[in-house]
Amino acid sequence: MQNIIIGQYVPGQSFIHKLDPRAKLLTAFLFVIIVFLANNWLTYALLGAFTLIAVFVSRLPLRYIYNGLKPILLVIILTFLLHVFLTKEGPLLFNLGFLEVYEGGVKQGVFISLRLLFLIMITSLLTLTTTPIDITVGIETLLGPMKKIGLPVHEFALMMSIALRFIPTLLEETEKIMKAQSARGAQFSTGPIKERLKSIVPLLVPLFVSAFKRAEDLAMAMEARGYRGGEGRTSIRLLKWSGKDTTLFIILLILSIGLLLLRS
Amino acid sequence: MEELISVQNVSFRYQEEHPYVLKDVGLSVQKGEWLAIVGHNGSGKSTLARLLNGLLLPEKGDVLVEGFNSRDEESIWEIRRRVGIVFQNPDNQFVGTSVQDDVAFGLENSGMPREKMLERISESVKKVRMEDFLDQEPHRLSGGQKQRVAIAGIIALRPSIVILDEATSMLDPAGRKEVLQTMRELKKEEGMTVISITHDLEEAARADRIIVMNAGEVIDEGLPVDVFKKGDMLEKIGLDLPFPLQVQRALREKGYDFEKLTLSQEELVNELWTFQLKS
Repeated sequence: MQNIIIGQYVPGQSFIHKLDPRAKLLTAFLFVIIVFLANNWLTYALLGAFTLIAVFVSRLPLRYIYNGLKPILLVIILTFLLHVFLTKEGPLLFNLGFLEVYEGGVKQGVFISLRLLFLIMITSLLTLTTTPIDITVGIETLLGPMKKIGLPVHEFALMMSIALRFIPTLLEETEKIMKAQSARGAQFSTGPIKERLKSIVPLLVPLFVSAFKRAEDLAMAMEARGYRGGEGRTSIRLLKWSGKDTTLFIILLILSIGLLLLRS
Repeated sequence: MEELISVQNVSFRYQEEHPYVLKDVGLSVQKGEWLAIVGHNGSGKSTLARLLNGLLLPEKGDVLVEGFNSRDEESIWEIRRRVGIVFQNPDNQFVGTSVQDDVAFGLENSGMPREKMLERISESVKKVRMEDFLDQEPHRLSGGQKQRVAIAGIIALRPSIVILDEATSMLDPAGRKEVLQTMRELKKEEGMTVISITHDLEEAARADRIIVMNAGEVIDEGLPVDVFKKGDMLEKIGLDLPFPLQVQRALREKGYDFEKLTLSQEELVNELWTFQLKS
């Protein structure tokens, strides 16, 4: 319980770790857009190079990237197969009786799968190299101007950070309740599914009761310390836009221009 | 002596039709004193704490903090800045994701510029000796450490009064000792006024003054030595007397009468070994 890591953040000292969270968030967002510019082998190669270099620079163990991809792998394979079998363009490659595979289908399948792959890799790179709290602060500053149109940006960010703060506390509590219920003869890990689901109830009820109590206490403590909403509030967390962040944007700009020139 | 808080004929109940939790309570808090408010569960002492910094408003009567009345909406923030509360549960008052964030919370609320915040934070974590834990996350701290962080978060705002609302009741003996030690140092060095709300008479015995509450009323008030003379009354309202006092009372029943009231172990030992010399 002591070594719990919230989110997927993997501590490190790489170039990407040290980037401003705002720069990383914007990059991920822009990347999602420019991925759609690619439409031939050359442009996909360019995107691939960008993604792989980013992964390499982050110096993250590859299994973390793989873990991020795992849940989406099935979707990628399925998309690939659908395109291969259903897109009927270009010359016929081979015919398996009821299934006809065309060149255009294979090409389309590969492109779409690569697109998904790159997207997932870049976004997991963001969450792997940025602490959840930094992401929260980044989103809060980026969305800052939206406050004017009445979007509760500060409240959202505060909610996120309180949620992050209480995850370990609630996990600890869950463990405690589980032990207490086990001591009274409850079984959580054996028996048929139906029984196991039923045994969750005596775990969740006390957990919810105490979470509400905590929320009430916390609200009281916050008020006692002079909390009165986001208005006029300053922040101890400082985001620093440095040369590194600007460099990233120049790279991204070159990548976009390259994609625009090379796309067919 | 300068009066910091004045509570005048305050009555309070949580809902209409419900019985009053506080009935016509009046008291005053002097600058620089350590005031213990003792009472059994349900005596209204925690409700009183919440009235003192405007978290609750009196139904009848007034609460004045350095001249600010908690009834005025404008002065409520002035009052909250002057009166800090350390609550009972160390976990449920830790707002930030790290020690630094948590100490900063009150300062952020007051809209202080970042440079000044950093100064105040490093100053106040040093006072509670938590300066080596600035980046720590709350779940890696002990209960006593979390309470010290809570104290740091409050003194960073430079309040005139710190209220300990059962702040040590969920801690182990070591944690309790470190929190109380920290507060005593702050009182001595900074001249902080402390109100400790507790049912632990051993803790109250070291206060400058004690107020005893029962069923929403102040039933006694005075120096610890005077209050503890009425041991039977304290026991009757459900409080446990400090151990040295219990020993003294048991000895008196056997016919050994000390002239002095023994509130600490040291005093008891002194009375015991000099007993034969005196008589």
